[in-house]
Amino acid sequence: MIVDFFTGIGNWPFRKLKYGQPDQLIELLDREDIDRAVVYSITSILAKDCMEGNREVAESYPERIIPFAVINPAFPGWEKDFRICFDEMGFRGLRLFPTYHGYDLNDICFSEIIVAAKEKSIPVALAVRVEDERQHHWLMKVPSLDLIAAVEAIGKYPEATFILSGAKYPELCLIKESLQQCDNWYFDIGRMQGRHSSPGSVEVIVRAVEDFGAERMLYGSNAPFQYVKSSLLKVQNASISDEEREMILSGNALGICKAK
Amino acid sequence: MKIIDTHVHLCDDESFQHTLDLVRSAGVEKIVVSCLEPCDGIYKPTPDQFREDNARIYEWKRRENGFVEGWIYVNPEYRDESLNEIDRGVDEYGFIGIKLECGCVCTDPRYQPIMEKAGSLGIPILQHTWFKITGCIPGESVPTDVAVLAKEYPDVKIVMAHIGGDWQRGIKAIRGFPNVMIDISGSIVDCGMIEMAVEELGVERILFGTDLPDIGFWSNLGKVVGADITDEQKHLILYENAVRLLGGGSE
Repeated sequence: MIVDFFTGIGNWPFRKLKYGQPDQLIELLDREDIDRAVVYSITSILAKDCMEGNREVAESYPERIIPFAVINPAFPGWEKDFRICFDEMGFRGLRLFPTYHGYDLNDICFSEIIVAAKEKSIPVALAVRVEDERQHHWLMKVPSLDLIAAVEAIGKYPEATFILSGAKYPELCLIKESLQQCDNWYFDIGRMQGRHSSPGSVEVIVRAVEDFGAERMLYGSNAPFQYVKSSLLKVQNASISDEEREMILSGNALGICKAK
Repeated sequence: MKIIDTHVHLCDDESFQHTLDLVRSAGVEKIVVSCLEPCDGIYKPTPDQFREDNARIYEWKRRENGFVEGWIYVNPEYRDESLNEIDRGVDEYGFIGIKLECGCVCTDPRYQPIMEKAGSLGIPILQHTWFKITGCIPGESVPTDVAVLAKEYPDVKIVMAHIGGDWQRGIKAIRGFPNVMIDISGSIVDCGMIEMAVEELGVERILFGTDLPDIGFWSNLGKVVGADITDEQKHLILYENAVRLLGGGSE
């Protein structure tokens, strides 16, 4: 079984996403034999009202997707949207875009939404980036998430569950010691294309398993921004045990989402 | 599936052995290797440094009996030493072309003797290229620089590495210059990049590469295998175009 923990549907203003609509994403999942996908709204990253995109996700293929709500806690009325998403619309997790929505992880609004998620046992994916910063549109240069602040937040809320989404492997290595003091975090591998320049394995998945443990890792493609095959091949061909591969491809994701 | 990886780096020997083991297990038929950057962050190597590293690649080439080919790595800031090293690379090492990184931007007049040498020898240039909206490192070329170079030397085959980094910009910048090919190597795996390159440039101008050991083999293979193009087009990118560039076929 394969669960893709890192996919989205919706529109992105800077380029056409070939598999950005719900039917297209399902076609892509079928082609790659991916059983389930955690899906968020790409539209909600830049829309003022995140609920526009959340509604589209909630209405799409409930048998195949595990919907994650995008909510901006710096925007008025988020508390009611949060209740609608999780009490009425069936969302299973939360995806936050602090650098796109203009708040800091030390801001009170972040603290409030994490407390709300924790009370409902809702996993929280923190988007480290959407696109590679080197390729941003010239009118919109958005920094990546401050991972030192992120690991501080992970430590501050030990009863919440966090997923660092879209981090590069060398970035995680920089906060490795701090992360290892916590037990409430995961990361997806969608933007992990390379390793550190140092002797040893040239496979980033092998390095990540050695450094952080397969129990922390989630298969995620970052479709439709990225090729599904790029992430899938690196897990399927990694020199790791079958048990580790199963944890990365589905086991950890199903556990987080309490899904079958 | 036949594969030639045209963009590999030699860093430490342990990593290179890992690289060889990985690409062999994946069925790769040949790799073409250069030094130094990005492995050690030396962007402007001295003659001693590029001579030593080219010699290391040659040792691996001899040891691996045709599986490893080489790019002659030089720095245009050192004119005479670079020209001498190109002669050594061709005559003694049998390397297939010249690798240029960030010694200076490729529109710099110091490129002139290197390009003239490449033209007289009939060998290609592999030019590192990365447009970054966040700012390039000193001496780093961007796709529009490659276009200027291509226009000035229409008889020299230039391979623009990494599709120029920002691939939409890269493809558009060199589209009108048939002497420029691209390699797809690097950390960007954006869905659509291969399809756009095929449509805008023609499949025969696209080479497979990875940027191993620091960037993954499977991530890069997945771009081609996962692209919405025909199997024949995938074969051209992964193998046949490189055979033509290398001059006649794999050993």
